[in-house]
Amino acid sequence: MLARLAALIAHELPAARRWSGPDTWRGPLADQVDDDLRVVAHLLSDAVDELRRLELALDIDPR
Amino acid sequence: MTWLGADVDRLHSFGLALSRLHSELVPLSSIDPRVARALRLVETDLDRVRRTWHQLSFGRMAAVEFDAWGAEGAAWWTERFVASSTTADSILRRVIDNSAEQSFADRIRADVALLHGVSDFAVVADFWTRATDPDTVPVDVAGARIRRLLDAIVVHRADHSFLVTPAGHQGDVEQRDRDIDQLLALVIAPWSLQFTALAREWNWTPQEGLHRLHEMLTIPAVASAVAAGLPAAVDRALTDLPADEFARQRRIDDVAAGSGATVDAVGAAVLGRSTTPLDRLDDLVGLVPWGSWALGVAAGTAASTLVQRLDHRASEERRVAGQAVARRGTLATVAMTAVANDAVKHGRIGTSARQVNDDLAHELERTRVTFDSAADRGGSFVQSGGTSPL
Repeated sequence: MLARLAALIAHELPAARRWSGPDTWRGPLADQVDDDLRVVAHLLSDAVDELRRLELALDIDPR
Repeated sequence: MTWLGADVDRLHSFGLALSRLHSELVPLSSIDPRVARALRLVETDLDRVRRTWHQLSFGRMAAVEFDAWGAEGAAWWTERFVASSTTADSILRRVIDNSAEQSFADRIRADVALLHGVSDFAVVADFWTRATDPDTVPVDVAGARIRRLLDAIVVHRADHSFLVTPAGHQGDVEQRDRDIDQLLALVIAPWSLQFTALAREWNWTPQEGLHRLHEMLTIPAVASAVAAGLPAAVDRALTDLPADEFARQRRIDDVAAGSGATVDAVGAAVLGRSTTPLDRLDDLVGLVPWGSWALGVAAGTAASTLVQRLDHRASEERRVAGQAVARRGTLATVAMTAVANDAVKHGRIGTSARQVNDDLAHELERTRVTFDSAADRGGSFVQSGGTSPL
């Protein structure tokens, strides 16, 4: 799951953000979606960090 | 900044990218609440993109259908007089129901058929005012639409002898022409500066813009609306000024020169000098090189001299000159306020009056003087018969 989420952050998310970026498209809809995808990137990045911490904790203390 | 609007192809590619992101997120949404929240955001955006794609596609196809009806022949012209509901009514209603006005406004070419073909003019007037609203429509998009609209109306009014109006309906046609005049006033007034000093924003030369403004100001409703709307246009043009001092000053000078040229053109129209030779206007524009309206602004004379110079003229002319001076005073105040507001917004000034530094005080004073003298320069040139006041 973690690897899949990391792959999504590395590939699918940047692909989508390229389309909402100001070099590709400007306007209210693009701005809204671009803002949302910025939030999505933060959320997913935080989730990955948290999952990695949990995984590390499990490795150290398998109980 | 150039507007990169949403188009069908761009939305299609974006929708595909979002769909892929969405389908990858779905199986992962249960592993963490943040992933679930991200999924909801992506779903909302995907829905927005799909809806917009539908609106654009609908508007595009509706424009094709409309042009097929209105671009050829003369059947569209008579339909309004013989049917209670026209093809134009039906198509425009569907466009509005599908929220497809924006792409329809960009795509149609049979503008005159829309203006004359719709039974209820209030519907088409509402459509056009929203399609050119400066608060919601980007400057270049509005420019492309308005330029096309004006061109179509000018060509139609120059010669529509091939369109035969059924007996008893001449009054309807005249009333519709008056309605279109009112619409032109509403559409043009917020954008009058784009006809002069800011003409580049609409991709036309100052000559083209000024000629078109002069042409439109012969319509009394347009002249009144342009005069009344100029303070708001100046205020809008001086919002979000460039951070660079030179560029900012250039913008203020351009807007001042544009407002001066507009005040002068309105004055000429009110005085009935609608036949002012266009070559004089060419000369006026030719005073300064392309894109450098600002260079000539400083050459204006003091505001009070305009009335003195016109003392020997007819009372109507003095009245118009007086209005011009009053209007210029209003514009100078509006401009100074806009520049000060922009300075607060962008941190060039504190909110306390004590924090106005010398540079800003100088900029505000220069703005006032620039606006005060700008109209005088345009007016003196036209009145002098083409002799440059520079």
